[in-house]
Amino acid sequence: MPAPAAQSDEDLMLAYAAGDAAAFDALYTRHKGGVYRYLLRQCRQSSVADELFQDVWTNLIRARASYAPTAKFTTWLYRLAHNRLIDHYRASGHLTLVSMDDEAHEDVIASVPAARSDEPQPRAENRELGERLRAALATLPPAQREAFLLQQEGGLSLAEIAELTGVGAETVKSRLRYALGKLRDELSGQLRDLDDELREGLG
Amino acid sequence: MSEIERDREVETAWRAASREGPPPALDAAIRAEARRAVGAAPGGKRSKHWWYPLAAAATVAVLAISIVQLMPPEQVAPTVVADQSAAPRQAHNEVAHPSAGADARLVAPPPAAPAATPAPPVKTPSAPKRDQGVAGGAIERERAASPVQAPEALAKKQLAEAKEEAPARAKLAPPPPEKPDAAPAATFGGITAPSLPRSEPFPAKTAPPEARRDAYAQAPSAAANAPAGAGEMQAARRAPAAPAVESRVAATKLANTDEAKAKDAGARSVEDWIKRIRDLKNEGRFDDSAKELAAFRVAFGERADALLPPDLRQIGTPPAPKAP
Repeated sequence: MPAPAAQSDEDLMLAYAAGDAAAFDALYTRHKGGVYRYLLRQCRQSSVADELFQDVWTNLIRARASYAPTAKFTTWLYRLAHNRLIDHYRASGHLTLVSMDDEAHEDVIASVPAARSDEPQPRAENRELGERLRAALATLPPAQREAFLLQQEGGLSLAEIAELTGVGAETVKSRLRYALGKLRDELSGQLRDLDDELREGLG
Repeated sequence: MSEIERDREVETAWRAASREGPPPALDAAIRAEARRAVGAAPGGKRSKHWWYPLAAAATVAVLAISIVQLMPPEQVAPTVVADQSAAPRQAHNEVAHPSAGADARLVAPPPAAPAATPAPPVKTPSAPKRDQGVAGGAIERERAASPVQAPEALAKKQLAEAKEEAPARAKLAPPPPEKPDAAPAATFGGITAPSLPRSEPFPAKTAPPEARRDAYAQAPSAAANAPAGAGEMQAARRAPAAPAVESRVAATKLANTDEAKAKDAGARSVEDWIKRIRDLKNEGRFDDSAKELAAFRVAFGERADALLPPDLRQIGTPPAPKAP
């Protein structure tokens, strides 16, 4: 039997469903960061993210017997996280504002600025670049943010994101393009600010 | 800088900046929950099937018990039958020739002699064979209530009569001095069996068939006599209960044969018998006359001497026994 590190996610999940606790450990170690950051960037509260994160993995543990490797494990895992997030939005009353499937209101949603007070506090390396990127991500519309997070944290493809979110692949591509453009602009602005600071300091 | 390069730069910056993870406590809680769930699942599977081996063992046990219960008792019988086949033979030897092996050599009946061959053991058809070996007392009780009881009573009566006649016959039949190996009489626990069965004065080889038959006919009476002393005791000690029963049945049959002969003898008148003896003596057939005289004595017992004429009384009188 190969080592858990060499096994695919699907094999590990099947092994865990068969009773191998070590397979779950390997699986959890691989995906805990991405799922946690996906939830944290979406809900922007670490306490809520912790709760949602635990719920997602609890649901995975409970659903282990019904798992079938018909799709990528990460798609299934982030679907669980996505559904749990939708439930959270519904429970908190933000569902109308964060509707990710309403293409018609995308501009309206994008125009709503993210609350600066909800921005997650950096935990470890509080780099300035990272803060500004996270701040820029927080200003993104939820649909664009989710597409970006699913691509960056979950490693999902356009098709997988489209399947998970229930929209077309072109829509996902458009969302990603918008999200990256804004982050790029934010990153460029920071670089410009850094250049200005350097010039002032040198001059 | 192209757009693609800038996108890669953004992604790299994002991965460098986004390194948060769940708190260790949450990690531990989730891992523990996963282990607990997995630990419960295999246990549940095991508990679901834990009774399989027990059920198999119980099934085997029930089958074994059922087979044992349903097994007919005849399947156990062959070993007992083998013992029985040996036991009646031993009983027959001890009944027919209770004193010693020498007696058997002297008065061994020819295989064709019907009176000497004991009938096979009477067996109640319904009685299981193994019961005979184990519960001989029960069989005895069973047979006491069976029609065999009457011959047994007759046999006892005959035994009593034979006891009374034994001394007289001892006088009549001289011991064979020419056979040194026949001398030792059977001694059982200090009781010497009467040597009357060996009183046949003529060797069995040379005796005519009639004489041999008559001589053997006397053996049962001696056999019936001997058990009253030591033979039966010895047989009872050596043979199990069931063979003892068989030996009694055989003795009963032999006693019945003697009784029939005595009845035949009684049917002949004294005068005819005396005439027959005298004719044989006059014809020079001393052997036959002696046999007839012996039979006469057996038939009439103590009255024989009184009935016999003086010239015939001395025939067949055994000479004084030689010292061994």
